[in-house]
Amino acid sequence: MIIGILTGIGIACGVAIYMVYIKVPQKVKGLEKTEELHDILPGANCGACGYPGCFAYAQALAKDPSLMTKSPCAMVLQDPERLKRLEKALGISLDASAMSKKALVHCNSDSPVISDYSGVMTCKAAAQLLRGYKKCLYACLGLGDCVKVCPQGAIFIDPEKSTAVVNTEKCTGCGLCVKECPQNIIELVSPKTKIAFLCSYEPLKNIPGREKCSFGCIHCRKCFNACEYEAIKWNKEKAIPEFNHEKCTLCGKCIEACPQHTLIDFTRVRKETELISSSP
Amino acid sequence: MDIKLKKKASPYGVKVPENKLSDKIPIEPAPLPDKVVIPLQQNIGAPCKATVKKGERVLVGQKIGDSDKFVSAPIHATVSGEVTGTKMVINPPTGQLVNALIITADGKDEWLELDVPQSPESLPVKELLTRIRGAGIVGLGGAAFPTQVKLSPPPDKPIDTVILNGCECEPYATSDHRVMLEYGEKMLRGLNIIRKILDPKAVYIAIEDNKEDAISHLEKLIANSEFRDDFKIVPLKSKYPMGAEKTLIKMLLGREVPIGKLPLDAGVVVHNASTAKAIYDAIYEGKPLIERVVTITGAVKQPKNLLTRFGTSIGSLINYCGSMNKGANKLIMGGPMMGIAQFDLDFPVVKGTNCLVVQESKLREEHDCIRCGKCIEVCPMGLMPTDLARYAKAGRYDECKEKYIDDCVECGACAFTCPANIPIVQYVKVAKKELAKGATR
Repeated sequence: MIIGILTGIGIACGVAIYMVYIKVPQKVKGLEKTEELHDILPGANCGACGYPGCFAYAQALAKDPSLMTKSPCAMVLQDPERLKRLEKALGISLDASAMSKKALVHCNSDSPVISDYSGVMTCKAAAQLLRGYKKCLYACLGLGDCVKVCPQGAIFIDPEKSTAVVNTEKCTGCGLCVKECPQNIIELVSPKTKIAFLCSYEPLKNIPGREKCSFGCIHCRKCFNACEYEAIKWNKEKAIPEFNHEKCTLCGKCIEACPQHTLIDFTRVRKETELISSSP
Repeated sequence: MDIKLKKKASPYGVKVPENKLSDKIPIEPAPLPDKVVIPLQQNIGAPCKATVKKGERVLVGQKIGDSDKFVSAPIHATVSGEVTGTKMVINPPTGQLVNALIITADGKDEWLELDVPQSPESLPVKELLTRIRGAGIVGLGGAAFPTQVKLSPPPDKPIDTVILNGCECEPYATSDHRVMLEYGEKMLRGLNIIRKILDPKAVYIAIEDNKEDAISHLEKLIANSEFRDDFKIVPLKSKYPMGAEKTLIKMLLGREVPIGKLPLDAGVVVHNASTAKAIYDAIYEGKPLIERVVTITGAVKQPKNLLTRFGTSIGSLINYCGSMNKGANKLIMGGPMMGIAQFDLDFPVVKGTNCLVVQESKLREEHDCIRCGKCIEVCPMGLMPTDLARYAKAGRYDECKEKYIDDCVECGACAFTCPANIPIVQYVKVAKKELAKGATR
């Protein structure tokens, strides 16, 4: 009798579990697309897109494919194969070369250290106290906040000048370092950039830039006058040159003309960084 | 609401070596500077716009900068002479870049004709407030909050107590102490103006018990004046940070200022002793705020209390006190606990500068936290500084916020007592700034 009842309950339970297994789908509906996108994304969870991790970004992308143009995943843009898959999945076409960016530290400072800074050894803390310990108020402090935040390990500190340098080969242009820098001297530039302007010194009218650092822009306009291709525009407000990289032929006249060596061939920045990074 | 007086020593806080080197030295006027650099933002709130042009001749007390914002205070010329230019300077206490006017003095020290009221006692409240704002008075304790804002509380927040803060708990600083001794009567009249504006039920003068001469002097003055029933002197045990606004209210009245609120919300207004003297000057003599007492102390030949015009370079003050001792390597603006080390002797004295300390300091290496909990014992706000520093170090700023980082008054008692030399306050300041930027990682 008891055995019969227990067997009956057992069979009923088995049938119930089988029915549930058949009826309820294995996967949550509506997430197929997100999961497909998540497979394509690099999975680094660097947070540079502004979303907490790649899955959250995939969820947002599934809802709104145009997000890829507004806040693109910089790592996908660097990888042609992933980019192709993502384009196919989203059904849009992306111009990776126009969208990808490289970080450039606008400072080549050898600005002398004027006070013994001791305390919290981060750029943020040092910048908060009277804007750092270097003579130039706009100098890279070289304490490495950007190095810590870079998911690619593309930034390192030049030990001679204690200035951050970006290895453009490794840099994906995610922009995390730009947000991190308290001196606001890192900018995302197009990889087509030919001339790099390495100074952030804003004109303080009665202190010429050369007193602060031997590489500082002194706003002399020599580069502007030297250019034969009209590739340099003079920004009157900031008193610094602006470059049109389409017109620039990289003839090198502005680099020669610059008395402060503030201008550097952008491709050479890349090569120099390779040299430094390969040496231990 | 009845007011209870508690005379216990604070259970929090820390005993610091007082080192009041200059408390017996009378105030003397500093030599008039040849050139002053006057930053156009010297207070919390909106920066001022210059109202004079380059090349213009200005007289002492002439308004040279003003703003139409509510939380602001105008700025006045502190010497007579010619405006020779503007330049961007670092505002010494905060480190922001601000515009500054340079005035080259002609050495005549000609004053603008002062507008002295006939009977200052009988001026209406509104007129008093406009005069206080017009004189550019800010809190002279160090934070430099515009005084007229503190004196005009919103109508739904009744003020029942006014505290005059003469604690001066910072080591080395003696400027308030000397002001109480030498300008005691002016200070009391200034306090009377504050009382007239706010109409509180009680007025206390809080003084730490290490300033016995000031306590007895003021007691005598009050007994012989018409304020004998109104003002009450409260001696407090000296323990750092007794003079911090929120600690003072807690100790004196047993009230706590609500989280993230101002003392106004507890029905209390606290003013510094030097501010009361400045209010006297503004109302009774018509003088705007152009000078203050600055203590120059520490490793200098002769520590002094100098009545200094704003804009004087700190280097010239130190030279006047005899040069720095050999081995001196640190100059702190403000007291040694809360002040900020400066790197340039050309920085000007501003409204918030109460003290300049020269120190022979050794670099102290930061070690890892040993979880001794000493910082928790001393924190006057009852926070957990060790946690705040650890979270700030790791960049977990939202967790700092959950631990009430906004309540930190940055008094420095935790960093002073830390055996591992962790610069806790600096971590807290970084975290506060990052939170203000809205950056969360």
